[in-house]
Amino acid sequence: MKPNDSFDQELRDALESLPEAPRNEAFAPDVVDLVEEKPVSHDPLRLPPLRIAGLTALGFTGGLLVAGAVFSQPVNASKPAAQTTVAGADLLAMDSIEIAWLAFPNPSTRER
Amino acid sequence: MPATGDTFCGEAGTGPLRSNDFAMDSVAPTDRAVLEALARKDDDMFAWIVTTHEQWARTLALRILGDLEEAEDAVQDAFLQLWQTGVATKWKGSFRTLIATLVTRRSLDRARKRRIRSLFSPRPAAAHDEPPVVVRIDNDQRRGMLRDGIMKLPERQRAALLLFHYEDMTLKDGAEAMNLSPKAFESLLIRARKALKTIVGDKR
Repeated sequence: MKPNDSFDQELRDALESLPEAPRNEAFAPDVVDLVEEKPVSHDPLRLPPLRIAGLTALGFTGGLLVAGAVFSQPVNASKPAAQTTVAGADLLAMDSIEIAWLAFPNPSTRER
Repeated sequence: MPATGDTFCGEAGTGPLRSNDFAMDSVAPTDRAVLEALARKDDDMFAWIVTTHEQWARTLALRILGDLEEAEDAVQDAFLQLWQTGVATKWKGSFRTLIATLVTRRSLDRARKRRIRSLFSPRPAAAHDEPPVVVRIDNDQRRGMLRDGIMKLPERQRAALLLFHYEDMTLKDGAEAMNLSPKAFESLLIRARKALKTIVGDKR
């Protein structure tokens, strides 16, 4: 800051002449009562509604991401079924042709 | 002007809050004693702190926000933060600086929320956008213009002026109070002073 004594003094005088807060005898007792009535709490039910909404949205988005990651695994027959995280998810390791073959087996190959 | 230093520097007690309030001796407790009492959750000391400091803290918030109701909410939040978090145990500076820091941060939080709210209810352009009228003025008029100009500055610039020129904080303390680097705080001050000089037609 470049020194500028006369302007600094004017500025200080102007700041001092800004309005002061009026006396409020009830303010201090109210704050003290608030502290006595409301101990520190981490109860999630006491969270403000916006924060609850935010956390819910975050959880929902996270759930969607996880579900998306699990169910959008590329169907790849060469991938060992043991690598899938979903129990009984052998179907995931098959490609759609194999699934269709299981559902509608070709009569010409059924006897083989 | 507030004093600064090692000793507790609020106004001497403004009267007991309750019968079992912290007993005010003729010698005010040191900053260290106050911070230690807060760390062990001494509620009598907390009551004494609020009673002793609320007036200037509300004034600081009012001057930053320009709205008494919001200022009182900001100061209440600041005192609750002082009590509920361990901020006092880690504080190394003077106790008054700690309260000024908490009050400034809570006030600027409220100012930010107010700006967001105002996006949805547009107001006419602020008066400080108008070109300054340069006329010959006396000292009282000049002070009045400066005062009006200060109240028309953005809250952050006004807070920087109040912390540096009124609370006598150093650049480092002021920057910490506003969560800024000292360079950014200095830049904020320079912009505020430049805007005010333009308002009063100061060519210096």
